[in-house]
Amino acid sequence: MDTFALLLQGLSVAIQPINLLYALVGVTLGTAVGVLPGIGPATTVALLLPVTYKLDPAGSLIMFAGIYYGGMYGGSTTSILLNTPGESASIVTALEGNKMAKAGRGGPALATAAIGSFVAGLIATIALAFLAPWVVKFALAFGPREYFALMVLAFVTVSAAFGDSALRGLTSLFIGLTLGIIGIDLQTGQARLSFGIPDLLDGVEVTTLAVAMFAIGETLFVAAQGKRAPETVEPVRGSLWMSAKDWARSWKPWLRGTVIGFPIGAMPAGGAEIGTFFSYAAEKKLSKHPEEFGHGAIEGVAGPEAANNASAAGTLVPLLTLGLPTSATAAIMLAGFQQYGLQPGPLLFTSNPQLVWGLIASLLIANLMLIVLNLPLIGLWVKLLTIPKPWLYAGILLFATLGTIGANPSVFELGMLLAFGLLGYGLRLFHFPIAPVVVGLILGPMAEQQLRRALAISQGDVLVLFTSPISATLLALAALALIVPLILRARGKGQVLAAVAADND
Amino acid sequence: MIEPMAQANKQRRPDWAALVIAAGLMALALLVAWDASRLGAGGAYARIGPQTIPYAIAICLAGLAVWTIIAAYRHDFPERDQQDFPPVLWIVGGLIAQMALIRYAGFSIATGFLFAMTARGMGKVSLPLALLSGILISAFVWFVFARLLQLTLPAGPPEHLLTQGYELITAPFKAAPGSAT
Amino acid sequence: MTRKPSLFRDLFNLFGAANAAAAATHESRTPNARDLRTLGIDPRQYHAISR
Repeated sequence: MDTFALLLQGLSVAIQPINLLYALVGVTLGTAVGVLPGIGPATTVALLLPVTYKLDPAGSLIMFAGIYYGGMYGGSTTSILLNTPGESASIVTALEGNKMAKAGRGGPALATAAIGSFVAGLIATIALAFLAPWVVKFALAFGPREYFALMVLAFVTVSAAFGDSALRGLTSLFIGLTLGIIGIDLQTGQARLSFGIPDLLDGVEVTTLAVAMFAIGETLFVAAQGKRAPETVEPVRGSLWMSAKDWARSWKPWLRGTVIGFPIGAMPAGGAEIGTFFSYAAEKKLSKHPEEFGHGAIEGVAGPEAANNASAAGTLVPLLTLGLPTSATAAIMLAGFQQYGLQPGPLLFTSNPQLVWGLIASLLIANLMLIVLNLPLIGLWVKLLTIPKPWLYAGILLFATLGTIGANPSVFELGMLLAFGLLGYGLRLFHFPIAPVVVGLILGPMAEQQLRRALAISQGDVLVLFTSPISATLLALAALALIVPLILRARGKGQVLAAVAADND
Repeated sequence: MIEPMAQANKQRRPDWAALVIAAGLMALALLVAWDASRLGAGGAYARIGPQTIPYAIAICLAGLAVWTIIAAYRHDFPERDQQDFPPVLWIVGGLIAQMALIRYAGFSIATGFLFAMTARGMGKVSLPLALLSGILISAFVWFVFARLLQLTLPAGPPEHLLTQGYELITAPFKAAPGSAT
Repeated sequence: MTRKPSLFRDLFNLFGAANAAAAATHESRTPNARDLRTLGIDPRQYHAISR
């Protein structure tokens, strides 16, 4: 069947009233958490996982995807009006967006952000729909060793290749991998790293770790920063509508942002932020008015906003087709699939096409809902920003613990929540990245399983990993992704390895 | 301050916090290796068993510990911002209070304490007011999630009161048989 | 930086800077001033963004 037919079939699933409702709840929640500081899409999905496990899988997953898309929209609102990005993918938007708002052009800034997100989300979701069957066809030939190599590549890119320190990224990853071996080994039934504690036999819950790291760790970190200058909300003055000139200056950045953001999201690159920075730099270089940058250039809002939404769709490519999460949010969405006994990957496309294509189609609908929710209701979202910080964070912790208590009402589980929360705070304090811990915990056991399967087939011969061209290529890529950034960073500091790198020119 | 890396190498004193992290990583490596050493090799192909990956992780953790020590002497760790600890203690205290109370006092009271202490940590708020609103909000949340979404949340006195009140109000509507919910 | 300009190297540097800056923001801290300048962002303006 061709993609169009499948997409239409998906649409028929997505427009069922109950699924429309899930999508609406998702995008509304997503926009709200995107607007609020201190809580992002990853945390929200993690909070909701234990609460939703009795609901319909398709509906819940549609809701989670809506939260993901909505978070990307909502983040831009605070960037523009408050100069306080709701989440990190919207920081670049604040550069020009807030300048525009201060100059009384907040309306067009919000509009170009929302319409740019819509355009990018639409194109990127369609690209996802057309790309997915190709990747699936390719991945159907994958055996255990190919999957293992793919996961190794994901480990390296999430932790070491991107980020400013391979050491800290890898340390975070290995903390996650260590947490991943806790519990009963499925093949031999032996307990590992459990120290006779019955609560540890089932292993560490991904949701507990994610909620603790993101919600509690972040709250502790924000609390420890002490008092900050009071924030001023820029009122939205003048018309919301973009002038003809605004449109003329916006449409190219939207398209360029999409083209930049989608592949960056689809590569195992860990997050949407790279695309936003890249898009900003590209727009400034290509603009006919580079002098306006820094003083409210509309291109600097249009491009990065398109890029971050396109990245969000791009992230879903490896997640849905290979079961490979490349960002924290994707890792938690993977946990969402697993909660219903579903394993994303090529097999899901054949065994459960309604679910996959319904999910993809619902993204198109979510996108439409978001533009309706965001532009006319902007005043409502701005009101959310007036919630005083103490009540906001008290509420975040209430919901953070609610999910854990609901999943497993034990004092031990709450203790783990506190311990991981403190760990998350410590990691932030010393600039260790958080996402590799979560990805390590969820992907580590899967990688081990694939490796042991591969070696069982080969009767323990490790060389088997390098005799398949696909897995050898993937492992070579992983090695490159580990080594090249190390050289680049050393070169960037103008130190020892500069000479080595210069030889390559 | 903007580019601490540039001149950092000239300082001779190591970064103590980084050395503590290195020690922690090494301890974790030893713990993982010790745990792996007591696992039996599983299956016919003894070259890879439940202990293989833990050993590999332990070796990598030890390597990272050494790398961290080098980084500590080269001052590769970025500057830490000044931390304000009392708010952190309030929030941690709130989490501990919730943990201690949840078995006996139920979800609402325990979470009310967490709510109040977190709010107090994040800013100047009246503690009794925060506690009261925390308990009321938690009770509402408990009702929504435990009664309507059927989540198992521990019940205490406020929850029993809430349930009884709910039963009392809805009792007349339940009299008619055959209404499956 | 007196070497002859090359589109490839420019793109590479840009991508590297975007990576580093993105990683920094992801962990709620301030990116390196040099990376920001490479990306065409005024570091002072960046610092004005409250996080």
